[in-house]
Amino acid sequence: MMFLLLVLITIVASFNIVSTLTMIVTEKQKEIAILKAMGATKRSIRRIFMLNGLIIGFTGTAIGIPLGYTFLWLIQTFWTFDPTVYYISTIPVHVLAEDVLLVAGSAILISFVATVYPANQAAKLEPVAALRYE
Amino acid sequence: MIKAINLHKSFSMGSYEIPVLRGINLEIQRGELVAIVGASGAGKSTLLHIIGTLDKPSSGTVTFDGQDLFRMTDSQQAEFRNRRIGFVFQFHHLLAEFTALENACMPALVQRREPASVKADATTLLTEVGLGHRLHHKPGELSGGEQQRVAMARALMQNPDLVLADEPTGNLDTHSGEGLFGLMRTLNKTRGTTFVIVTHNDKLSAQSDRIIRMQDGQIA
Repeated sequence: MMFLLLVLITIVASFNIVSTLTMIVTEKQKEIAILKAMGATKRSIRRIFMLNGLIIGFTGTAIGIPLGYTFLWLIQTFWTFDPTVYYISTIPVHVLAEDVLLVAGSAILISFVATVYPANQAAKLEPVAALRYE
Repeated sequence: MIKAINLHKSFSMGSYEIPVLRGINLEIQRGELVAIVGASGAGKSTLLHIIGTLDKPSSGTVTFDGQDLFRMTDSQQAEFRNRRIGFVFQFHHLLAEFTALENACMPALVQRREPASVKADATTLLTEVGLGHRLHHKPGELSGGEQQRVAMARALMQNPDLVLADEPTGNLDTHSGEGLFGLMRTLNKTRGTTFVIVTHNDKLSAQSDRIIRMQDGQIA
């Protein structure tokens, strides 16, 4: 259940990758055209943007996991309840290694999938239009 | 080396069809330095782009050493652009984040050649075009004439058979323009590279081996 929830959050977040990359592709039209004029293949252009998206995904995951752990630690340590009023004294935190790995893996996979569309747009770009005008 | 047969190209603007090339027949020999002249809108750039496979003709064929350029697959065309031709544009079209040396290296890096040997080659080339002292400057730190020389070095990096130059002197002052044209003349002689140069400058085109005059999408 938790896994599903987190994956849903990641999918929503991955739209950010799609829009960021689409923006980068639009911004870099001229550079893409230059590389194509020099003989870069569609495949290598596609690879550039997929790598770009994957780096975003990896960085996000690498920052996100320690951040999540820190947050959980803070909850457990500082968010205490009065034991005379409540049944529990802290919010129970239970970290499962397989959940962390699964979510991290899916986050990277989802960010990879998110790169496909913008990377293809970049690969498809016709060089003439971008090179003709300054 | 290049043979264009009955080339037609039109662009569609909504429901209009605008013809740009109307039956071009052209032959360019190896080792020539050819100037293409004509008014704006005569189709010079489009012709150059088609020869360089950056654009497709609506009909007609272009052959390079007997090979039909538009029967090639995308990746064959990419390899053709990488190995056989070099481009110089009116705007230098250098990559702004990279130094002169890195820009000159780029076509060889696209081909995935060994970076160390590429650097040595690019340094030699940049020295040959007179920029040995500007290797580590970024395009923004170079003058217009120097930028075009870097673009020239980049075009020659893969030792191409043919350099296609689209108004390379268009944005330069007379002095730098003549310098660049002189450089192309020299490179043509020393390396035997074929040059096709689109230009508006009559004084420069007069120094070419042959002038092709274009008018309304046809060769006049």
